[in-house]
Amino acid sequence: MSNDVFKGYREATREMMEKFGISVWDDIILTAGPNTFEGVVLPRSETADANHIVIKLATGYNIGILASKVTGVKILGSKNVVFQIPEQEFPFDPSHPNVKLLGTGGTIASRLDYKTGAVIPAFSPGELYGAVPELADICNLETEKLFGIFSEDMGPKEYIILAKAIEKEIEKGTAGIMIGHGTDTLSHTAAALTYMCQDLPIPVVLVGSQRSSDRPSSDAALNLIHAARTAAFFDAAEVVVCMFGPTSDDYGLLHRGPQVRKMHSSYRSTFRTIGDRPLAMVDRDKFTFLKKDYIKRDPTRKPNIRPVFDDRVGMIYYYPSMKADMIDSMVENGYKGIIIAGTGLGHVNKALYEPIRRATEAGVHVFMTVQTLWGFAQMYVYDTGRLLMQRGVVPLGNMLPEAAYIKLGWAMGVSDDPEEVKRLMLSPVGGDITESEPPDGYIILQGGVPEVKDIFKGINR
Amino acid sequence: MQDYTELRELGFKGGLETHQQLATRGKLFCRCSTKIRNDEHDQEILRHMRPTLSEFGEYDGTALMEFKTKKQVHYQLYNDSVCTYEMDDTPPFQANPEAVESALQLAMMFNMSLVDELHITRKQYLDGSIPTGFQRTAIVGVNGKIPFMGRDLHFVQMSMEEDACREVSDIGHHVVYRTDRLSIPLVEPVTAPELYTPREMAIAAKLIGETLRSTHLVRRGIGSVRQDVNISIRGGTRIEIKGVAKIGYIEPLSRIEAYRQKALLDLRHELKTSDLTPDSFKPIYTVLDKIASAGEGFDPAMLESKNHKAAVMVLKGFKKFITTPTQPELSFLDELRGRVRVIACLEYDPVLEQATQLLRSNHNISPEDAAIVFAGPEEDLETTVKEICIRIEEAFQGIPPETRQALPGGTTDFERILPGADRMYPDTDLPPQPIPADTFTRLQKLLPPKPWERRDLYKKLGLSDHLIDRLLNLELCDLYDSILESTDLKPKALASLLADRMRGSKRAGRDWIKVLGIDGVQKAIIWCFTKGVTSKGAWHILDWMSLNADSTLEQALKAVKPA
Repeated sequence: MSNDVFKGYREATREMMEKFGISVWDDIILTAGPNTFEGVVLPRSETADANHIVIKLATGYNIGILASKVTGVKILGSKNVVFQIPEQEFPFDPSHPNVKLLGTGGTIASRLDYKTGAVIPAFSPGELYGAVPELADICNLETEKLFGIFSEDMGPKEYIILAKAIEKEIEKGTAGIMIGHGTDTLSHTAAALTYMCQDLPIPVVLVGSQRSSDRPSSDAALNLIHAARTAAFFDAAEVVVCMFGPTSDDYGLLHRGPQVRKMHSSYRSTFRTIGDRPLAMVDRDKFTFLKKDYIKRDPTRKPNIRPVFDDRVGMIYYYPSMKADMIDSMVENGYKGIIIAGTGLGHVNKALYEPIRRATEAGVHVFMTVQTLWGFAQMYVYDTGRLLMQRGVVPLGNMLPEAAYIKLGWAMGVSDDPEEVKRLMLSPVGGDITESEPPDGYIILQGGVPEVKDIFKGINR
Repeated sequence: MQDYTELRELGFKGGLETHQQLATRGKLFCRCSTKIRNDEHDQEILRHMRPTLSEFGEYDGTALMEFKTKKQVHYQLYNDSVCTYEMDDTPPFQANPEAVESALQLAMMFNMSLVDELHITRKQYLDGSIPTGFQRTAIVGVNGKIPFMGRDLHFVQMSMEEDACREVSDIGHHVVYRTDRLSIPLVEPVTAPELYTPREMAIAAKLIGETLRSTHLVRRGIGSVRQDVNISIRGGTRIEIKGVAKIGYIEPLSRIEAYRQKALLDLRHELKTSDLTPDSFKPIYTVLDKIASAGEGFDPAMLESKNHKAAVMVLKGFKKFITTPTQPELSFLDELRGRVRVIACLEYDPVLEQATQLLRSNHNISPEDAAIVFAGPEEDLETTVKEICIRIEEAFQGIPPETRQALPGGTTDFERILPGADRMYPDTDLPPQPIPADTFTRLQKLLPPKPWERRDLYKKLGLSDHLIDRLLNLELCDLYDSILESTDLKPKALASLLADRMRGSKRAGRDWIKVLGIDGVQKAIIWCFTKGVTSKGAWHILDWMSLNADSTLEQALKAVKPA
């Protein structure tokens, strides 16, 4: 594909290019009836239509011309394209901690891809140094690209590879680990690593960017700087997500893996700890702990790495009038664990009582979480909850549905014993279940309310 | 009127980029209203800008320069008239179809070759004026031309783009922008550099404005049109003077810029024939004590309260060069001042030492030396001396390509390094947008006659240049044409009624169009004609009606009793 002189062009446009003998990167004057256009032929995005040829004008703009209108072409030359992030050697300073960045395919630093018109990541230490030179003031950086996939394509296979890579780095004596990750499922991966990698001696920091790194206003560079500082110096040896606190370029928040959730499709401040305070704030100078209880950094601690996952787990987001077949079909299809995101304190309708009973009797784990996200599954309060518990449903306190899904897959990977799976599920890890919710664990402000307006006068959102 | 013989001989060349807001209801890439706000904002956010790569893998010079400045960029938000798009917390929505069609029609007015598919491109602006760090822009047409002073004036291209934020303040490392204007759609026709005197620049700007306004598709009023004025002379460099709001400023700005370039070319000659070389100057400064800084006009108490330091930089043998006049009442020192104000973010202008004995003796400064005293946070002092050395080195080369801002009186000051094509890259958030095939013919039918066609036509009807100018400028041509078509009114009398009398009445508070609407005015004039009322009589009737809303023509006729 790389030698294809018609990159991305197909059908009518490709025929026109062949007819006039033009290739991608040729500098041409194109005539379309009375009109003329001069510029460099660019590759065509594969998702765009087959009818237009794309030309980059001398002014830097791109335009598209209908191939069927082209009446003549004059070739002036060809533009030799060098296209890479300025790469320099990442400086080594013996007084700096060694930090490892594991890549999964997120867009921390990036360049543009013509074929799809999309952003592709840049990753080597040299490339990163070219894009974010501040990193060299923080740490000695090594990078390793484990895979290059989109966040939405991450799954158990990748979680296991990551956990093993973390184990290897710990053995090497690395001071801290960063994981570059797309944001869509970043919190799922953070939860998975929290369960798979326990008793960590050093921090593991997941980092991404909400606004792509090919834009000057991206949050990518600052997130990366914060994450590198966290990996190198943060005192808590836990799996954390490091992303923007407010939408302003200010401080980052460090969230515990199973407590964090992506709450907006595009805002920079999308990651929020649910039902608790975030673990800490991070900026260019300091860390500010918001929680007192945490596992301290201790390079001598032996980690407990259990990189297992049984993917016969599914999640059901309950809706009114859900029918029995939703549960039955999962059981029939061999699922061994079901997480329900129920209403209110952990409820579903009566139609599901019987299928749930059939499932638990067949040895399928059924756990309850709440789709309100904040608050506990307290199934003893109403009859519905009590009747569901009688049928074998186990409430998971204030564990987030996504964390519960990941945890069940992991727990079923660790043990075949139903009682042990249940014990693992109910044993708090990384704050996934807390004994209580602090009064400032639930803060969702509402616009327009006078006191809220006052809060947002300054640069603090 | 100047004939500009000298400037013609110097090889004066100019071009115009006219930024004209479109009169669409909504913004270009979100569905917000285009309301301009002057009340207090509701929220504020803070961002920084980092350069990114262009498609061809190079960092743009301006981009790097602006990153050096490390500005804190503040954006003011309004809860009820901007959205998360303006904050760059939501990707763009697809381009406003009303704006796309307006832009295509305007490109047709300039006889351009139209594109078949819009490619939204990102143009980097690291000054913070756009929260994304780039302006979304797309070419709608290239290679246009219009008749101009007996020849053709060519147009390189026309883009459709989103407007930037309005700057509220820019002090030190903090710049504040208001987001109300952000993403109002603009078109930007760009002429070829084919204007050969400052006068031609002004005439062309007027013609471009008439052409845009004749479609009724563009916004009017203060700030709705801004010119970027590009000037060079032979041996000089293209300099862009940004955001000129009034056509009247274009001629003096162009003239003064041409002479600034001549002064800098002369300075280069002087420097090259002197003993000095760029290596004669080192980026070295000495921090001054309180007494010395006070002697140079910096208040030690104020510096201390801000934790700023005053410093001196000595440029050996440079005194006569630094005082070289470049613009009226400005010298080469001001070239240095502009640079350090923008790049080192100094809050106060550096001064040439006032020759206090103390400073002279302590720093071994001879009368031929230029000593520059400046003040700011310590980390900015080094940037200051480095930048001064860079600018002096450029003086040995000639004229650095710059974007300059217009000051009152026709002079300019440094704004940023002139950006190149390297700051353009495709918008990954929006796919290419094909223009449906029938669009062009449909829009073509909606076009009004071109202003130059109308001008010829009106001349043949015997109208004076004054009346023609007013009809074009006040966008009255369509009204004029349709009344003329349905009556036998004398062309001159009707033109005078609309262009002089209606305008005069409006200024006196009798706004015919506001009270009666365009159609009402047209109906009234035609009715007067059929009743045999003279144009003077029609003037009185319309005046009366505009003061008596909801009145009928019969009532007006009875009340006014025109001759």
